[in-house]
Amino acid sequence: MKIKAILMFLISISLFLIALSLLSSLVEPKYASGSREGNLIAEYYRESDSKSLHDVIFVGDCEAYSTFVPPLLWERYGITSFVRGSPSQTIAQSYTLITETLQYETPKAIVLSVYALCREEGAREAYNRITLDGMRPSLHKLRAVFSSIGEEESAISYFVPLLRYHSRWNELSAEDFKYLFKRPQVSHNGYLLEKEIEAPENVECEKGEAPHDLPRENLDYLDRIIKECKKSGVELILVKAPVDSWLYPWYEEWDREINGWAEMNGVKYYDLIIHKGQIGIDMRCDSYDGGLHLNVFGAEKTTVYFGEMLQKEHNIAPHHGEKTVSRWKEKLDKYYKERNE
Amino acid sequence: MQLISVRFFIWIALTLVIYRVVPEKYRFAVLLCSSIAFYLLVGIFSLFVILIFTLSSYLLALLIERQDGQGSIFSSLEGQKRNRSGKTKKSYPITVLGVFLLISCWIIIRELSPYSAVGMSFYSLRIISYLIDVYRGKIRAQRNLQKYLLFTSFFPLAFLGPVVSYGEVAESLFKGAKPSYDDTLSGAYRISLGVFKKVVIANALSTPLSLIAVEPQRYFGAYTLFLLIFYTVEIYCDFSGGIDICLGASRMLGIDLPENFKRPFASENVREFWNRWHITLGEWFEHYVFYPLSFSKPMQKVSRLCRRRFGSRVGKRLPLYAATLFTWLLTGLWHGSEGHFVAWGLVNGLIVLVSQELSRPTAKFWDKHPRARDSGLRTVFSRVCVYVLIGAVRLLDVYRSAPLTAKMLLSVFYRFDSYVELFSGSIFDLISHETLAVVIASLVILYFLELFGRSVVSPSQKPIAASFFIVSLTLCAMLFGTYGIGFDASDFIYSHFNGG
Repeated sequence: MKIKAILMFLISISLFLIALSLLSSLVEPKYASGSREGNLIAEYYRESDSKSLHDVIFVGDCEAYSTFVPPLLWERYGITSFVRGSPSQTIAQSYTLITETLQYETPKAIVLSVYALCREEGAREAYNRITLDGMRPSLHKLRAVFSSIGEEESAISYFVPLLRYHSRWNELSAEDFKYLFKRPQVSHNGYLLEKEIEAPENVECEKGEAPHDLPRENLDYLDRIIKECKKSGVELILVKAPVDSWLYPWYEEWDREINGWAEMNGVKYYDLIIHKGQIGIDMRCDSYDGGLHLNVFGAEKTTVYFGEMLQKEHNIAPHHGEKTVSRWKEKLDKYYKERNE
Repeated sequence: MQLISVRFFIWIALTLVIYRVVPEKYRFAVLLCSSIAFYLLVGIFSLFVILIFTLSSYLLALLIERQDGQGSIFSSLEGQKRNRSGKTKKSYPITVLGVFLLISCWIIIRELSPYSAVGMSFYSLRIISYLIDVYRGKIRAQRNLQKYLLFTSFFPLAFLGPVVSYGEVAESLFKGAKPSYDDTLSGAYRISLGVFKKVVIANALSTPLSLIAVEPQRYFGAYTLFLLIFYTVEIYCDFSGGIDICLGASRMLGIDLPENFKRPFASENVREFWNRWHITLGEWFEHYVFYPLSFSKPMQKVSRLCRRRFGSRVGKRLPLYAATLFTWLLTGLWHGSEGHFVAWGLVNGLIVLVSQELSRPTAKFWDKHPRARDSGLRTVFSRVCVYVLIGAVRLLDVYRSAPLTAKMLLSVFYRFDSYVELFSGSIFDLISHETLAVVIASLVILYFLELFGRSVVSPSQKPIAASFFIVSLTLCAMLFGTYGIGFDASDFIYSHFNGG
């Protein structure tokens, strides 16, 4: 009787967990169309599962995944890379993603996009979801969830998505069933290709002083990031993408603060806004959303420019082994196919 | 901590695991620590209040017993209490004073305190009944303060009751018997059923019904009828769902608590309804207010006076009616001190009395139509009448104003334009097709689960079916339930009806 009861219990629990997992997968947004950014974070695990290693990992918010093109970086310089970017990624989330990545591999360098350092408030739930839902269940994810969620959010819903997305049951589409077990691949090693051209509407207006200093909490996370990188023998490089818009302005004061921090910690910082001219950025044709982010044309220019810096200033040697070549050639073909469509 | 929350379920699970693992003599301590820690998590104010109430009533009970000597003989609570020798029972003034102070503190905390003391309305009744039972000699005062504290603070009772007396639960609370397989399965089934009722049915109806209720100038007539029908469903699923969770949690610990609902919509008259709905509260007021009041010497004097003045038929009834209405008045006040709660209590009391008076003529009517009576028409008609009547009175909770409620009920009979509007599809502006379909399907499922519940003495008789239901109900609640950001899934309607 006791054995029967235990067996019944185990079978019930197993069936429950299987059904829960299936239902969670079913109701979770698939981000196949529309907000494709939702799939960016999870796509890294396809690489890590196949034991692909990277020379450089880019981490950061939308400036990261709209600025650096890994297939192009490999084509020009033989540097393998991946962009672990997501919209409005906070510096706390970047820290967790970096520590998680260092568990999977040890790149030569981590390039951190610094815009998130200026954010005073945490991200809204929608952005937390886009970043954190894609992470695999782990202690890293748990840490990221607790450092990110707002008061009305429930931490457990990040591990049991059904608890958050259950109301989609009456909005399910063919896409939800098609991608039930495997999500579509939307990026090129984390780079989200945008081809549209939309020039900024307004004339540049005077910025004035920075509204606030870089929050202390964010700089604390930067300290933790450099500590993790040093522990793993990975070089940390800070970069500001060559965009400075009316919606996401960048100030000299912040530049100075980061420069000061970088000097103190022996870290290189590149403010690519200053290098815009040399890169050849022209926001009239290099942006897809009115100057807020770079389109593929702007991203390619920036990647080529920055790649040269990585090669010359940071001695990141090219990879041309047979396996690497065949794998990356496939990625490159896929990239150009989408770019030229 | 809320009743429907991951925290609460984790709390139950942890308590259960530790309870099963520790030796029997420590199980009582596990329950006590778990209950105290629970109140601490709920809020320090709640813990403070329950400790004060517990300590003061513990000492009071010992004093009551000491005053009368041990093993006081029961005599009914009327006038000056007398023991066997005919002398006055010494503890009467202390008992009355103690109960009065307790009720006063309860009212002050509920009405004047900026904080809420969770569970206060329920453990206050437990404590009052304990003191009265000690006074009556029905039970011995508990000398062990920790055991008494467990009785007052047992955490599954914190949110919605049921209202239990000391004698009903003491033995199982303190015994520490290991929960059986049947207890675990039955408890889990009960919890999953409760969550299903609350989250899938009650929560889904909450928003559309609230929208109807807050705009009476916009939603009247047919909408009021819709509200009448579905608000009763909502409150039943909300309250009985919560009770299922409480009883299930307790059952998983091997502690049986009394039922609070027994198929109330199968009632064929109003009195029967109130014997099937919130049973423990009704019984409490019956045992500790109605009967003592009815049999008290002053009331007997009034009865004799009325009989002399108005004749036997009327004279016999008047004191009974007065006691009934007074009891219902107190029941209304227990729910809340606002005017509409008082009105609710009095109207319900009145309906019970009228229903009792009409029972004989109604029976005579059906006796004249035996075919209709035996075909089931009488049963259906009676049940519908009870449902509509109770639903109409419930609208006092919704509109919170007796005149407005009366006005809205009247509009059901003459605002025919609202029926045209409702049936042309405007109801789907308030509740989507899918949600309404889920609610109706869930009510059907509930009906079949009720049949399952009646077909077995306990779910462990059909373990495969029970396990299937537990898994399915939980998954259905998670998938089709209305909860999450923007909706306070733990906000039970019933918890609004009293101070804590």
